[in-house]
Amino acid sequence: MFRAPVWLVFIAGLFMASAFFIPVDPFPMMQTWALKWDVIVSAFALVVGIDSLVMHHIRRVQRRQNVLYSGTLLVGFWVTIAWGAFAWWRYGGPFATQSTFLWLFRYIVVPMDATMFSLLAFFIASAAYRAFRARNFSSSLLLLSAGIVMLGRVPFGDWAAAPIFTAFALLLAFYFLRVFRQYEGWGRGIRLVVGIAFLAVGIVLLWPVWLNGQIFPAFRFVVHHIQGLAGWIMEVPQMAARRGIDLGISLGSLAFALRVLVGIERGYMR
Amino acid sequence: MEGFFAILILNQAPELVPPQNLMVGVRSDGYWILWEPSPTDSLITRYEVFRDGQFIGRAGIGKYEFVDKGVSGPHTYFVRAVGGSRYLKEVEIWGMRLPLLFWKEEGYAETKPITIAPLPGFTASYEWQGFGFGGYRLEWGFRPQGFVEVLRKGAVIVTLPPGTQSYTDPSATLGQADYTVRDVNSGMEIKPNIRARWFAVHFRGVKVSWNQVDQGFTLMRSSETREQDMKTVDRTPPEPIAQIKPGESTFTDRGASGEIAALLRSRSPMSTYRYYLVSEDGSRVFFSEPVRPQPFNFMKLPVLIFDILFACVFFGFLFAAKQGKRMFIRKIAGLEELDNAVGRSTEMGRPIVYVPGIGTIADIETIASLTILKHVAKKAAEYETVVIMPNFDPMVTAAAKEVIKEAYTEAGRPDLYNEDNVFYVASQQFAFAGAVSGLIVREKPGATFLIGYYAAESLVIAEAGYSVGAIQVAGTASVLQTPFFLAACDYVLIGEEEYAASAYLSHNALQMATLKAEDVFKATFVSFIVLFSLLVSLGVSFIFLS
Repeated sequence: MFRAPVWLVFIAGLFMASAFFIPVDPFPMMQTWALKWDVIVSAFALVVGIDSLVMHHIRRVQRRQNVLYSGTLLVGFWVTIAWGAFAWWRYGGPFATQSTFLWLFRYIVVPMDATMFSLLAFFIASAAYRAFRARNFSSSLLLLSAGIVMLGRVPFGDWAAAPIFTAFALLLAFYFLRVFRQYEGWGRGIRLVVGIAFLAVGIVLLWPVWLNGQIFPAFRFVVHHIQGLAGWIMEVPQMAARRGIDLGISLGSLAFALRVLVGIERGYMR
Repeated sequence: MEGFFAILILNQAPELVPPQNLMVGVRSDGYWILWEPSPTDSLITRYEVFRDGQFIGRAGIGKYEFVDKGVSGPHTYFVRAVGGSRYLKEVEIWGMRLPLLFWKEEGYAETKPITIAPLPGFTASYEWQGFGFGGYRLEWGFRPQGFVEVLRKGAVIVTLPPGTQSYTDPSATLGQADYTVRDVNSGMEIKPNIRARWFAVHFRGVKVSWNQVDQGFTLMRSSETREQDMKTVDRTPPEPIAQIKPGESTFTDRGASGEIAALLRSRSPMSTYRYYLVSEDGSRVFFSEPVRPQPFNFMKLPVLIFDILFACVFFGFLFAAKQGKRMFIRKIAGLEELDNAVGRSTEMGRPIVYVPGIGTIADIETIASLTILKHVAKKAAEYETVVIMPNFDPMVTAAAKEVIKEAYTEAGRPDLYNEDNVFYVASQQFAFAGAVSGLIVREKPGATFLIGYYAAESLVIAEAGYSVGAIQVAGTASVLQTPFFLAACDYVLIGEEEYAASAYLSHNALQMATLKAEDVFKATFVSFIVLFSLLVSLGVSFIFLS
């Protein structure tokens, strides 16, 4: 049943893989042809896609389902086509310098695109709020490292970092020293040690230092290291994890390609 | 009227000087005649080109090249600069003497003729070197204010400009790494950080050879590279690369690596480059056969070796699975939850939304997503749950319709398949994101599957799903989008888990065996990383290049 498409995939895949290693004809030429075919097929597929889109919304209007949204889309669709055709007739092309169609593009399409993109900032804020809640050890670690990276990369972040981390260390010390009694055995000991360590860090950061007759807290002398620490987090632990994922993706895509090539993987076919 | 129109010549017309450095190169469409402007270029009105004494064409002001199309074989060319002189003339008009600038075309100047001809036996071939030592790379942390001297065993081997912080010594001998770096201004000497460079495959250069010549020549090189579209052509005119002494018959062009890389990368059989031998007086040019890409790109040899090794392990495990050997594959939480998510949607009486991302059908992630879609759709058909699938690409829409139809048929419920639920939305990223977010908010699905290629729209869609309380399973190979999915979704397929999904879900021993090959290679790579990290920590530092 699947024989012909599988053989077609095998031969085409082998040919394209060969073109990667063999830079002489007929491989490069065939590769160029394949790319051109891709463009041509995509152009025809767009007609099928438009049919799918328009008919989908016409049916929704007929069923009185979200009529406002589907109606807006259909009106927008036909107005855009009509305007483009008019611009073609009047100015020689919808994107010609004097074309009024450009107005539609500049003042409707581009701002709407930018609006959707800018919404991303709010979505990031809400997702970050959920991700950075210190629910367990891993998310606390995430919160700490994200805080360091953010403070290391924003203007005046290095100056804001020291008081924030001092307060953070003292709050954590307070939390661990308060809850350690509720645990037994190793858990109790570890929480006590961690609480004392955070207290020590807080005290060290607040320790008064005399310089040129003036008193400064010790964190005054460590603020400049926050950028280096942020850089280290991005270049060492973050990069190591990222490369690990990249390595897996490369091997995964290679194995997937081999499965498709030899016909073991046929889920994408009918 | 006496004196009116009386002309006073204030200066003599200067002599015209011929164009400089006439050179003839070879292009795919003919001979390329190039010259540099005459020192009296401001007086030139045009340049005329002659082949074998016959006028063949002209180049206007500001143009210093001409292509003699469709010719081959030996020919003699010269270029004539035609121009005139500016004259400052004093003219009396109504009793006033006004100086006016006049122009008169009055002469020409010719270059010496140049003869171009192919030279039999003038050939070029690639020189490759297998695995080997490629010299030492020196790096020093400080930024020197003055010139920097690099010393090997106390002797200066090179002086570098101020501010230089690294140097590669290609002439180094393995094991002899006694280097010192000196800042000439301050006299400070430090020991640099030294790393050996090792090549997997190294392109040494192009070996050019010709029949022995009894006089000196200049060796030149030109290139012609075509882009993938076969139309855009990037040409480099002949440029001198070496002086050839009498009696020499070979030269290895080590500086050709950039051109070779471009040539091989272009993957175009029309891309070539050539060598020229130009006599010392510039009157004779001999050109070589064109250097074309080799039948095999040796720069990609390590990739081929790796692919073959991987394929061997892949088929080895496949064979073992056929023999009935059982293999353990770790549980992937995201994939285990696919069925639960469909079940939850069914219990809630809500539809499922499956979004394959913004990839095209040519993206491997989209293909992997379609294989997962089949599993999800089959399960949805069994549970009689509606699957809604908005698409970014029309070709993916067509493929997805077929996949879902097949899944419903395999589940024995082709009557439930509704073609209207799989539709094309938009091929613009944020238009698609807006439409899908709106769809999710309106339809309030019980489960959303965001599996495929995603970019910045990932979080917009995922947050919409979160806002309606849908159980969300996401998967993308994009490392940049994975954190967003982790923050907003319940289960995430990280990295290669998306590619492994179809094999994992099929519970087919043959497909599962192929995952084992991946694991073996991953373990090997991790071992290498640990080994090399230890070596670097112990002070054995090196760079491995291909």
